[in-house]
Amino acid sequence: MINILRYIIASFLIIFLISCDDNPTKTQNLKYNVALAFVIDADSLRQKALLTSVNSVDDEYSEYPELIDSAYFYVNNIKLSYSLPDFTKPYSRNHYYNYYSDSLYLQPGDTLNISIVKNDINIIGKAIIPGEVTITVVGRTISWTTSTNAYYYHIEIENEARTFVWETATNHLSVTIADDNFIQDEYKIKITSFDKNYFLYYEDRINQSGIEGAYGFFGAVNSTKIKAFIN
Amino acid sequence: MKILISLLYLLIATISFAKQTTEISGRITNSQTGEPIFNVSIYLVGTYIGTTTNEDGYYTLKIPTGKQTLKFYHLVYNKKEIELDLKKDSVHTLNIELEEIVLQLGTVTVQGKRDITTSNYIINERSIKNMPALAEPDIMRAVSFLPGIVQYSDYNVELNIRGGWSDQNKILYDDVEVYNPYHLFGIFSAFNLWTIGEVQVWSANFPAQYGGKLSGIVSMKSKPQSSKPFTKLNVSLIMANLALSRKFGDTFVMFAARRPYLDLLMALVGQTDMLLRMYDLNLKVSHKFSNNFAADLILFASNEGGTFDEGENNNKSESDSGNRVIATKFNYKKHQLLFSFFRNLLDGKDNTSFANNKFDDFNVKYFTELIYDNHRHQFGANYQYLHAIYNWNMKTVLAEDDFLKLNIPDSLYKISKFSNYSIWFDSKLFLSNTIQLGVKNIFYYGNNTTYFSPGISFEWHPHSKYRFTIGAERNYQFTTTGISTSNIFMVGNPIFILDKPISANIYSIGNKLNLGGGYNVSMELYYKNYDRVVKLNNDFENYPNFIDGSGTAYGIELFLEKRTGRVTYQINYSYLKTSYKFNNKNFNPSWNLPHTLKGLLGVMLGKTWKFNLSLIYRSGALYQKAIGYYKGIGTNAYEDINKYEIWRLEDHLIFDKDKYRFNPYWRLDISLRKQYSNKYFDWELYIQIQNITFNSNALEVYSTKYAKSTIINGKPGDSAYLPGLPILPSVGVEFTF
Repeated sequence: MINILRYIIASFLIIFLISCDDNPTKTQNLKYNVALAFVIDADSLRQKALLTSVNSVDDEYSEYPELIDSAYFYVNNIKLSYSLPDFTKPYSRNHYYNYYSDSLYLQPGDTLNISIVKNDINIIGKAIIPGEVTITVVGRTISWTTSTNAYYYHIEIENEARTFVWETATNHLSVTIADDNFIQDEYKIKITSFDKNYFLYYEDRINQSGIEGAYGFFGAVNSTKIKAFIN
Repeated sequence: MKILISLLYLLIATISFAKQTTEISGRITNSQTGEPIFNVSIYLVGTYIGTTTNEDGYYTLKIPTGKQTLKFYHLVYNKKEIELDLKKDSVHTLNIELEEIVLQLGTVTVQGKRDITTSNYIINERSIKNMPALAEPDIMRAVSFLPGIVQYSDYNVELNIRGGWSDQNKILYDDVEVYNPYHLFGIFSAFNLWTIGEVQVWSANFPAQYGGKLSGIVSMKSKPQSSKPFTKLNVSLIMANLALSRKFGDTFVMFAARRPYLDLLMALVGQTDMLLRMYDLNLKVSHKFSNNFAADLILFASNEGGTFDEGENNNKSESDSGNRVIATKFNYKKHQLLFSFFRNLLDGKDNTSFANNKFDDFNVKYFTELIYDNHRHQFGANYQYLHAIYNWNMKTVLAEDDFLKLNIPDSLYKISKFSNYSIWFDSKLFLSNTIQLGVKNIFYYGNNTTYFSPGISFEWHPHSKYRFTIGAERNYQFTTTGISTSNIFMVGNPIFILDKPISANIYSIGNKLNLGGGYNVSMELYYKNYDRVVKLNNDFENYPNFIDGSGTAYGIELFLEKRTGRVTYQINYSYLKTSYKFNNKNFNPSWNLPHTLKGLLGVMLGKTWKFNLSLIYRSGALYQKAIGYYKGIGTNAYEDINKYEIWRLEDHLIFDKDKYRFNPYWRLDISLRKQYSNKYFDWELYIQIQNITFNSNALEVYSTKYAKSTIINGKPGDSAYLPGLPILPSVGVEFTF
């Protein structure tokens, strides 16, 4: 009896000892030292990208990631220009990119390939521009048709006087405004369709989406705007 | 076809086989005091023939003639086995004395019923009382010491049973399901120990009468009726608790109430930033109309409220939340009819600062049992009507507070309803003296769809001290909290009604061995596959909107206990592996803690001193490790200063995809009790200390950037190391009249 008990207790201890976890808290090296943030906006003439270095979290004093200049940055063989951003106005529309192009002519369904090269940097990526949608409004419900290659929709509405501004995001094809402050008026309605790359980044905050050779993402969006009375 | 087969089965199952019988009767008394013992289970080994003693300790049983073994079981007495050789037409009287198990230290399980198999435990109120507690003895904390059950945060008594979400557990109070049964952000459960007579826990092989959940059942039954008046007063540093029961003729009344006085003390010293209140009330009235007919009225309310300062404007917000139960139960012979109404509510008083959620569960349940020599059958029918109103308008910082982690839209008004009809059977058949077969099925009908929830079990006990069990079952669940992710703290979760139920299959194999001398050992393996689980989609416009997923959980559980003597203990080890899959991506939930070792020890010192110790050692919690950061275009439109730019500059963190764990966590708790007596009452003085070594239970890393500057401030490894439970000696005194 005592022997059986000893055996059982010893078995417990052995299982317990061999089952202890490793605790891998050592710092992991970064795979890439560069990051790209690039969303093609089919509704815009100017396409803007931000290419920066990646800082390690183990740095004693965390600093602003450096901008990377002099890279050869192509989208479908069209070279992007370099522009020094003005980060003193971080929320200003035109001041937080360092590469841009006004020469890209885009159509829904177009496949875009990027190539970025500089010294040890070699980034490639691919994205497809989502299709446009047709918007209808019934009462306070805004509906739209499916956008090809789209995974997510962002909806913004505002009236002329900007006394009511509302936005939301969904993977469905309609939304209903359920806000007590809503005012009956004519509204500008904008539906922006996100492609898979940008959606995955947006939804899951993954390290890489649509690119290889760097952290970050390369995606595409397309917007449709109408004016309509909403009551 | 399935229905036809089932009906045929029911017909066959009701056929009984006539045998020569005789009658045996007697009285069961306490061996030390000579007092009669109420509610002793008596049954013939290898059959379903059995009964229980009445309040005067008497029993009568019809049993087949010949050689028989009669077993006597009670929660607080040592079980006894008597061999008999009974002849027809003779009068048999058998009086028995049972020895009381005085100690009940160091173990939480007892073997009080014959139906206890693997994946199934009974916990005694005495064991819970003696365990080291956080101020107040807590049933759910005691349950967390069973194998395969994880209490992820010391501050939150939500339980994850065998890899399941905590909302996959059915928590029953006198057969009424109680959702969100928690107090004060989960620190305490909502149940008053002094009202409970027995707690039964299943992690597989669920009885059909408790169907409708995927991972576990915790069933609490209130104290049995006793003609002996009972009064208990427990006063600790933070809470007072009163429970009493009386019998007036054929009417039994039990009442209990408890309330902490932390808010009163805080108000007294002028600390009014956050005043938390709670109370719970229990009332049960039972009346015996005749020997065959009795009725119960059950009332239960648990409530918490808070007054919170809203900062600059010195506004105060109020909230109340809690559970309400009104139920009546009618017992006529072997038939039972239960009408119950449950309400879970979260009530932000001014509708501006908190979720308002009303969830109602109205149930009508019928239950009956047919018992024959070698087979017993339970049948039941249930009508359930669920009604939920989700109504909130959260405009304050409370909604964005990481502390509460409410992943819900700012405003919502929605009503959900669901009617669910079910009929079920649960049968056990002795195929031979050593082999028992269990078959069950639940037929659900709701939303114009029928669901079948079958189960089968096989038990083999070649020796009276050894039991081997195999079980397989399919379970459905019709509600979910959707956001219950075992956080450090919890708030009352909205309970959502699902259009389509979630489902899982459970397979288990286990054995139990009684080594004699109070030693028991068991081992069990299980595998659970989730066909469908859901999590809330990040789509607030169609809220609640769910993403479908699947998952698996498997593990092994080893258990050893010594239940008798001055030193008693239990040790169990659980291995768990669980993962879920959503959007074709696997993830491990926070309660996926592969290795857990738990132990309880009780020592009786002299006749009046009791020392108890509990120990938990487990794998560290998972976390994502941030290794770098960069500047990039932002994604979060809602925080944007410029409303018209949906992508803007923000800090991005890069996470290492390897699975990181904190250091293993261990915690040691102790309690010391000293009992005093005088001729009017007994009283017990206790001191208990949780986490005596003050270990940190690290659960999460806040890898957030600081919006104030564009520089990540500090290391993204900045950890939210949750300090362990404070070394707060909780001193108190219990009076028993």
